[in-house]
Amino acid sequence: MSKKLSRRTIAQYCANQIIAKDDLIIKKLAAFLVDSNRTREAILIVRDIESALASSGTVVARVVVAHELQASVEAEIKKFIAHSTDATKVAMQVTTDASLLGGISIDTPDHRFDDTVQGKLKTLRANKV
Amino acid sequence: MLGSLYSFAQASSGDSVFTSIGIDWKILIFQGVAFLVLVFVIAKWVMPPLVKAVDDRQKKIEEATEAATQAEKNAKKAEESTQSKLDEARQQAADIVATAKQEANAQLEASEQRAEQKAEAIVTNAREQIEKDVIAAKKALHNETIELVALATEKVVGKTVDKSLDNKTISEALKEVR
Amino acid sequence: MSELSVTELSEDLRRAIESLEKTEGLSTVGIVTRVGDGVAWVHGLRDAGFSEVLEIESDGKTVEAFALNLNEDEIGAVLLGEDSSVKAGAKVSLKGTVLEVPVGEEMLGRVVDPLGRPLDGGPAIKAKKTGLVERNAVGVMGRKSVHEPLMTGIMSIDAMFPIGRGQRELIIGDRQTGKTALAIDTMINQAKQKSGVVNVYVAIGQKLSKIARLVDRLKSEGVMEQTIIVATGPSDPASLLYLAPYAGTAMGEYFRDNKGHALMVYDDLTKHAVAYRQMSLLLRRPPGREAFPGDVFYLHSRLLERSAKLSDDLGAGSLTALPIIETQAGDISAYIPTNVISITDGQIFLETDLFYQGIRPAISAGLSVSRVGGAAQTKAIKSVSSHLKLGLSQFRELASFTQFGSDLDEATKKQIDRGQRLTELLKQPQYQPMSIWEQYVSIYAVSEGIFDAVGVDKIKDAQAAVLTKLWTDYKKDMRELNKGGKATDEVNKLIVKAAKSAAKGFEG
Repeated sequence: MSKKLSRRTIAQYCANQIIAKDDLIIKKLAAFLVDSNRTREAILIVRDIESALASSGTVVARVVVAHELQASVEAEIKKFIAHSTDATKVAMQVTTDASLLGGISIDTPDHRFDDTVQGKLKTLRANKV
Repeated sequence: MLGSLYSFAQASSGDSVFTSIGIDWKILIFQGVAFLVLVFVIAKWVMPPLVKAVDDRQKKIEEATEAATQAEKNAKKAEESTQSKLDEARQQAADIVATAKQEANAQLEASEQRAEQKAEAIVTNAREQIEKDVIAAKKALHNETIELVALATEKVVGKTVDKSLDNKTISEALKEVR
Repeated sequence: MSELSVTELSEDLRRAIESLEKTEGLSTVGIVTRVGDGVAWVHGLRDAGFSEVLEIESDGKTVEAFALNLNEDEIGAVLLGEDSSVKAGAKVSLKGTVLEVPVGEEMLGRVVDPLGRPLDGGPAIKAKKTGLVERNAVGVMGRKSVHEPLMTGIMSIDAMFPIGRGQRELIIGDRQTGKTALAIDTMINQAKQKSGVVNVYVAIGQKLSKIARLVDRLKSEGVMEQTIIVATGPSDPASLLYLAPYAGTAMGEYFRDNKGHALMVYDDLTKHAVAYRQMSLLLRRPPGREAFPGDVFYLHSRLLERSAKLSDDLGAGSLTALPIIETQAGDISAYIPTNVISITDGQIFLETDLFYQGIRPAISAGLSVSRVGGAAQTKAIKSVSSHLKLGLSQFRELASFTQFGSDLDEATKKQIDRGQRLTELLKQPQYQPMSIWEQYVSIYAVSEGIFDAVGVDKIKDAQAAVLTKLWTDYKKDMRELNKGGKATDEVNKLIVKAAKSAAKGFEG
């Protein structure tokens, strides 16, 4: 029985392939997961791939805001992410969620930036004894 | 035999001094011998047992007196020792009673002390309980206040923040962190 | 203290609100992939260290966990709270510290959990210092040999198996043999004799009702002011049971490192080993003998090595440990008992047979030992203990002959009688520890033969009588004797006189 490949190894390989502009790598990965019966780990492997990409300079960020973003602010956010994670390329996914009430929430593979009003209220409520 | 002796005595009676005073020396000798025989018999067979009996009796009497004196002495001694034992026992009893009294006193003191301590403990407990209640009340107030502040903020922010204000705030926050 | 301080409350709130204005930069997070049975598997957080504290957000609350399994793909973190509030997908961040508990004099008189949170409903603990839960033991050069006595107040122990400050003495026996009672009497004696030794009682998986009764008893004996209780119940997560002894030791080490003396009671380490086994099996570590993980010896050895007598350079403080182990059917050769016996400096073995015969404390004089021995004994007790030990060991040899009664020779009979009286003398009721002078007088009276005429069932009464007499009539001499130095001939004469007169009343 061969030892199970760790997710980190798989992710690193996939990340390298993505950077090398291999278009079929995602399909190959899917096939591998189905074949080795590890489809449940798909989300975790995606996170690991994003993490590996982040360490090589490509950052995928999920941004959630309460109201629609102006173009200038979007650009600022990109700059901010690039600066904080030392990334050369930033891919942003922006979504709106009114329940946040205000502010911004940025999620990168290994980091998070929570400046939402809802988040601050959560912190306030956490002060309860 | 006596008859012969008598006839011998009569035959031999002559005239002498003894006959003149009425002593017939033949009879005298005869009586003398009879007396000696009697003495001999008595000395040999009657006296010893008699003397022995008397001696024995004397001995017995002496022994009895001695025993009596000894018994008296022993009785005296026994009485003395009983007395002293009684005294000793009385003393011990007194000691035991005294010790028992001491122990009883000590126990009494101890129980009094315990009762006092218990009373103090009850008071301290009550005080502690009050403090605990106060702390619980403080906690409840603290939590309620936080909840109210959060709710108020939610309501206010939801109404006042619009798109431009939000964008401005975000921009400022990002600058602040950089 | 009792008035509601509104300013205090509002200040807390103001501070909380002000802290919201600050915006921190990007923080490192991981996510919980699976959670169950008290273990959360976390993805991400590549920089987490071993035993580092993680904070898991759930429903607005933060649940703490500590990382025990650092695998290539994920971290196995043991939750320090209820796992019902942690959900998969929850964000996890590093707290930045390893496990710490508050330590200091503020902890005295409190009942806390292994994280230092109060359980007695009292005010929050504002400790100025914190101590590491996991810490290396003092090195060889930092130690001194054990030479000061730790009086337990229990005659059999102080006379035959004396415990010194800095020693580890195991209390081992079946259930319901009086193990906890011995430890409690020792703690009570520290207060009674004003020895200045701080008690730390660690309850590992003990019934909460038992702990409540213990707190009441300690309060009524006036011991609670110098005691810290670290309490975990059977329904607490295994992680808290695992941490409890280490947390308690951290609290005791504060006193040790600051020229003080502390006494640790771990009640009991069997439950501790079982909790650790539960955690290890759930963390998928390979099971060994009796399903315990391979490092169960290390679990207890690193705990007990922290109990030590420090050298004069480091302040000459000490930390004494009384670990308790529960055996099954008297089997002291099982896995955990043998482990702990080899770690400690002696054991006090309690037997069920003796307990039901009425000999309480049910200490087996044959199987118990103290490897420190006379070096940690007061001179007064040392002078009489040899007679006691000899009398008892001779009695043990002849014990099977007691049934023959009148068929024995004089010498044997005498030894048996003496042994029976000594055994009766060593019985001691609970919560009544004896001071040094009381122990000396009692043992002296019996081993010198003064109580030979007293009936075996009257020995305790005679003992009480002689002690009362001496305390009432010669208090000064007894106080002097209580200091622990060797008794003078005059004092011995006084004792003989008092004992003789006391014995007269109980003859037969």
